[in-house]
Amino acid sequence: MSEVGDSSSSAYERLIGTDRVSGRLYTDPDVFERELERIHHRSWMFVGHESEVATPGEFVTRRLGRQPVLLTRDDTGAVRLWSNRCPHRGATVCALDQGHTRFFRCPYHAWTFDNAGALVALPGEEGFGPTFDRDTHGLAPVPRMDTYRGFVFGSWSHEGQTLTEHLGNARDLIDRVCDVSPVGEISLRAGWLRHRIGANWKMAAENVCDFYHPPITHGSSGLMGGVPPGYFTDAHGGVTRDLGGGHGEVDYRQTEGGSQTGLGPHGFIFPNLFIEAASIFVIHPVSVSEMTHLQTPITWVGLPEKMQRPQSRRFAMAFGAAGVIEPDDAATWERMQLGLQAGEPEWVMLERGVQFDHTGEGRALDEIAMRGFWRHYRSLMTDEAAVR
Amino acid sequence: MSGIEELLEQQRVEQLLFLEARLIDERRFAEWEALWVEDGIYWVPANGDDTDPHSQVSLIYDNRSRMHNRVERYVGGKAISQQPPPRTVHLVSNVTIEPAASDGTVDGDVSLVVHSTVQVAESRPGVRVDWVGRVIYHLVEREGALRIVFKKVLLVDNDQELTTIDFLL
Repeated sequence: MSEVGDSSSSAYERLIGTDRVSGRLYTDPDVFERELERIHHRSWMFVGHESEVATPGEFVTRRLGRQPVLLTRDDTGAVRLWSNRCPHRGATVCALDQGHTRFFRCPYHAWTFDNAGALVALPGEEGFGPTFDRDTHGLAPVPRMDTYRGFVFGSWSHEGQTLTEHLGNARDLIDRVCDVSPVGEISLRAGWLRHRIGANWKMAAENVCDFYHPPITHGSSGLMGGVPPGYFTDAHGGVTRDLGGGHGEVDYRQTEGGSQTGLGPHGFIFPNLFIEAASIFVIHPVSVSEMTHLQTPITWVGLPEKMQRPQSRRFAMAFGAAGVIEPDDAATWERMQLGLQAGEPEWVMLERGVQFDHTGEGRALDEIAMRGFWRHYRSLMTDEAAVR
Repeated sequence: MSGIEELLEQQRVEQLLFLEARLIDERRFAEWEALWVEDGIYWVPANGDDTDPHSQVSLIYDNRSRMHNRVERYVGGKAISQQPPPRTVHLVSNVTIEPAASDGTVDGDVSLVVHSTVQVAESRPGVRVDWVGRVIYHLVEREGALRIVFKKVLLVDNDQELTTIDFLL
């Protein structure tokens, strides 16, 4: 029996209020399984960037939800997204994180696939009889893949919203991060730091648009020294925005001096992508109490080195398992995961600035984007989405 | 170099590495910093051992100023990940000294390239992790003492997902 007890749609409606959510949503394994089924294995998810497979033959392996995938650029130059799974007996056809190859060979029976997914060789093919058809035994494509300005997204659902519909207002975040470059292009080729954290994935997702925490959580980092006094206050003039669809941002463009923390926007694209000014973060769910946080610095094509260097130095200092920012976030989320084992009080509170929700925009420290996250989450975890 | 001289040099190098490990485990960070020369580099690569630290991400790539910030953070009382601080025990082994580095000397001083292995037992609430790696040191003689110019830690799992490393390796 689940902690939630009743796994019906109406039970989830009760657990997700307008200014509070049940702590059980972070601790109940049944909730996590429902999230995989209804969110990570259905919704559009960021999987990688075209620049990671810049030339034909390059590949990277990732997880999309809990499922292993293989992002390739085939010999015609097209970006392709596959299940990393041999269609014969199910072994992964690629064991490396990244590389360059024309062929993927399964270790079990040497079925061999080209980087366009076609089965091009197998030992003893004649033994399968005259009706064996290579064309129906190629790598399985992820049901839907689409890109926006080089950002590659995949979905395990054969139908549903288009990527454009899914991104909605959040396309603006991608536009703004790309348009820092004079040619409108970013590159992600520095590799990823992959940080395993003992906390539920939603804590990282919510944290993106929580500007209430940085001066406290990150007070030790030394990086706050470059931030003007009062930067993390409502009075400084930044706004936090619910972009709809679970997406959100904190926007400091209209403040004096603009953003001090980086060149691009600071926003979240539901359910797994954080555009962090000068970096890209990805949130991988692992279990109800574990996530992996992936982080890589952005290179802007054509941007002068002197503008990029401070950003890459900041990344090196701040992020990854041994940074001076990331471990404090991780420690906080791990403390939340422990604390939420206490079933009383039932609720996790999200009240700050609730009076502005009807406008879609609140003060810098308001929890408006977090409430937007939960509103969309609720629509997916209940049957609201089915009738849209 | 005679056999006796080699033994003495081996002893001297090992004593430095053992002292460094002890200073870290006893959280005597000011003394740890004093083991370094001013232009020292402390590097923990990610995603392999032979990456380019200027174009590829690293777990740690600290100059002296960053090393100082790092240890100040450990003792500054504000870092949530240091509440309580992780406890560590470093086991240092397999210490071998290469003949004078191919680049010969640094600033006219004797330069040594030292290879060793380290196992770091980390404990914090609810977490017990063993970190294991090879370590490459470049050492230099300054005012009669060996000092660290360069320390590169090659974690055996640096290409995997890793939990927080909020201590010195």
